[in-house]
Amino acid sequence: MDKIKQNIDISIADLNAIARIGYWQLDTSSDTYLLDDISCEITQLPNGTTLSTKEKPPFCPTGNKWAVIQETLAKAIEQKSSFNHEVELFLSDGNSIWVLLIGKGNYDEGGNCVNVSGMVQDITIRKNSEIELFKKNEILNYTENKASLGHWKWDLKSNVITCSRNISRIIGSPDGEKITIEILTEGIHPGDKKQVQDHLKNSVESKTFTPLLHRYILEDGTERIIQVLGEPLFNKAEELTGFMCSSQDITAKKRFEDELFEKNKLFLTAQQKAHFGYWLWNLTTDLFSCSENMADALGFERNVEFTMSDLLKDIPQENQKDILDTLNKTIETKSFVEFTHPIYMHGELRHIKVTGEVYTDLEGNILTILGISQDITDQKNFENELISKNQLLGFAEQITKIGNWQWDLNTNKIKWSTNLYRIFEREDNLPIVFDIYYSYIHPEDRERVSAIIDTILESKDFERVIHRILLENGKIKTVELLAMAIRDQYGNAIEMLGTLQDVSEQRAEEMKFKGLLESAPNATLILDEGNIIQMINKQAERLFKYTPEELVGSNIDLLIPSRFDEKRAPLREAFYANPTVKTYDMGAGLHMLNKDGKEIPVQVTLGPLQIEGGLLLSVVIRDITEEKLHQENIIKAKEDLETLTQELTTQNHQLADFTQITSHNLRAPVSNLNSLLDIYKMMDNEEDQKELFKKFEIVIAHLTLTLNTLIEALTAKNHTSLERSEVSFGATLTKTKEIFTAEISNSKAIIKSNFAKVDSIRYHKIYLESIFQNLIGNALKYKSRERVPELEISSKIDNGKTILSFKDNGLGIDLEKHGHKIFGLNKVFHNHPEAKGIGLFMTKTQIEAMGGKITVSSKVDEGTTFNIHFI
Amino acid sequence: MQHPFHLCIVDDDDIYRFTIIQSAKFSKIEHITSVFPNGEEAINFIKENQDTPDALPNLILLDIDMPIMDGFQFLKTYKEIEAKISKKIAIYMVSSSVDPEDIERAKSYTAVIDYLSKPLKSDKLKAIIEKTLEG
Repeated sequence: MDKIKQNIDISIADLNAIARIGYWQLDTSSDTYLLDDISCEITQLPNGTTLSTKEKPPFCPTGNKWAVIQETLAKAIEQKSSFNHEVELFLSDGNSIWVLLIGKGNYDEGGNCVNVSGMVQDITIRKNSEIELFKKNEILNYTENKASLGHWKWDLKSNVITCSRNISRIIGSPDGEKITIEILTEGIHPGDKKQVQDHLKNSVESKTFTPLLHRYILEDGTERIIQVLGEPLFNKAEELTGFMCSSQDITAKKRFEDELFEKNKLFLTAQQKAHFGYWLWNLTTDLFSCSENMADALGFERNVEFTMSDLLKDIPQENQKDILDTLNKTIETKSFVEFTHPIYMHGELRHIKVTGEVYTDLEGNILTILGISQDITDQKNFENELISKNQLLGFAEQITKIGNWQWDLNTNKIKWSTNLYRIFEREDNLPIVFDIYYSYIHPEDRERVSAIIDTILESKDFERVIHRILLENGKIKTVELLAMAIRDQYGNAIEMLGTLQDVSEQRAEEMKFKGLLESAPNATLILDEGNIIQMINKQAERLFKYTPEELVGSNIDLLIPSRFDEKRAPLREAFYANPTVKTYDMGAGLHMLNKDGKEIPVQVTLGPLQIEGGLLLSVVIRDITEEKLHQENIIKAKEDLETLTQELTTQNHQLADFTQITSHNLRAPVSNLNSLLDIYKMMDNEEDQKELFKKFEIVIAHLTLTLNTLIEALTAKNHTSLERSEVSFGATLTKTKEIFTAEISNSKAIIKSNFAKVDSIRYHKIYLESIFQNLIGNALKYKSRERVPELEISSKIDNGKTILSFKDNGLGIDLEKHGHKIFGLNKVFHNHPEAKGIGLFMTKTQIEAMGGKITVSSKVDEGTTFNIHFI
Repeated sequence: MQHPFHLCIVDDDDIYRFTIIQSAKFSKIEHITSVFPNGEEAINFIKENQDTPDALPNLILLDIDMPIMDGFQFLKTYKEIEAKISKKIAIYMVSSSVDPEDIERAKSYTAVIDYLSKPLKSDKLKAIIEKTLEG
């Protein structure tokens, strides 16, 4: 028996070792624990170790865990209850284990605890599972929380509901507490409560649970939307025991759906706007469905399936086959082949582009084909327009012989427009790199063009250069290259683009023009509207002594003295108002300035040159220095001639006078002499001859007087620079009166004088006396018999010249009859015995010899006035 | 009865007048002579006798250069009254002027038969008188 018992003990010990259960005993009197080997093994202590209640064992190195164990144990002893405690221990190898401590006190008769025996079991594995589960639960709760999901179980028998923590939390009941259906539904939106209660009732009756939506008001007043899904629960007897349900807060989802709905609406709008719709071809049924807008567009009822022939009904017959072929191809290749087709929509031909997607099952059989049809009519129109615009551009480029290019500096590739190929007479679309272009540049121009390109690359954004290109066939063209650089953010040129125009013709025209300009005989400047010199010719260089470089680009003002500014402004305005060729004579001589600052008299002709860019002005300048000189000479010669003519006229008058004198005053006595001589010869009577000699004497005396007078007159004429002295009119008059004392007293003549204005003159004294004697003598001689002679002699200054007047009241002279010969020699106008016709002749001769003149005014029987105008 | 030839001298030069009168005497042609020192006196005489042909001269020797009224002025006035004059009078311009203008001007008057330069010699005068007499 003992043997058996011992065997059993051994077996138990073995089992214990396998189950890792150790035994221990607390001796309360010594407060020490005795541990068996397994306990020691579990706690990784040496066999036979004893532990003190007061000292922390190695497996409870920190905190008050050991103390808590002792307290719990003490409590159990005191209450005489069993001790059951799970605790985590930290082992010396660094691992931690969970152990179950079970103990029970042994009491003496007095009820005092003598010892405690107990066991220790390693429950780490179980504990870990537990912890895992707990964690899982936590995660579930968390997940429920996150997913706003909760579970609840409705037991119909007890009519109570067990709910998950999340539900509890939401409805505000303690975790794990069973609740009634009333509590569960308490928070439901009043508007939905009735519906929910009916639903639950129906569920019970129908033993099914259909999904349910209701609103729920949270504690904070926010409204949520809850979706409830449920499953009925049956017992083995197939009787309904309750429902297992989940409630999910789908507010966000709902909102998402709403949003989706909105988005869908937007999508529809977008479909309409972008003129596209989609259709689905179900190959299984061979029917089509389509989006609403497409249905609308095609005139189908919405959401109704239709056939292929329906789909094709508005498509022109000739295009239908192509569409079917294409669709077949899509089916064959199982990938959508895009196509476009025309269609009549509301009677209008539109263009539709169709793209799509093929959906297959896992075996690769086509289930559906999704097609997206887009109305691209407008796009097509744009495209067509673009194409025609491009053609126009190409045409324009061709006409203007201009092309454009784009040079990618990274790849060195150059894109040329078609016309550039044409200009370079190069096959279209052959790739171009810079070197190809460069090779075309005329060798003489290469350096220049390179320099320009370098400039653009380095700094300038825009440049133009005219250069020649040498084509493969030897033809030379002149082109104008316009280039512009595109830069990256660091300022490095990354691309260059521009145009190139064949300006050969313009160049030729320009050369022609330049040639014409050069061959022009006069200096010519070409100005733009801003008066900036654009071009000059050789003559202009020569005239102004500037080089073309100095003048071109300068304002014309450089060449015109500023004093002409005022005069030029209105002329310029007038010219631009009516631009026609005009020669401008700027009155008192327009002058222009050359480089040396020398003024050149010029005549300017302005001519308008209408060009594409506006109005150019050709300024033709004629140097009229020589002309001016000639003109001045001519004017001088003319003046000289006038003077000479005047002199000659004077001399002519004198000559005429002389002719008159010779014919009348000399020829007359001479002819008389001849006649007398003739008579003398025929006369035989001596007495008569004596008589005749008297006649001879008279004639000879007359002739002598005439000759003497003439000699005197000629002397006067030939001595125009006679000695002058200051002679007084008053004194001269006094002297004259003395000479005529007898005549004056006999005739009782009254002689008045007034020399207050001027009393003297620088004159030849004898002449002045002679003039006074002749005029006063005449006045006295030709007095009226009816009147007492009255004479008024006065002087005045007119225009700075002295005038002396002799006015009488005598017989007067009929000037109409005798005016022309009043001052002639030997002219007498009165049948007066003393008239000899010498006085006035001599007076006039003397006055004219001194540079003055004499005029007369007279009326018969009233009187005569002689005016002497001195110089 | 036959009236003697009437010679009229219009000239302010008394020597000239003397020589003409003398020359006329030498012509042995019966004549009477009237003398006027200027045109005015001569024209006045003609006007006074325009209706009396016997009082009017057959021949007038007219000078150009005279005081009061010269030869041309005389001719101008004479032209005005010519139609009223009952007798045809031969007028010769006799002047010392050799100015062609004067000669031209003188000949422009139809009344003037000729222009003669001074001096007028005796035989020339005789020829004129004879020519006039012949009509």
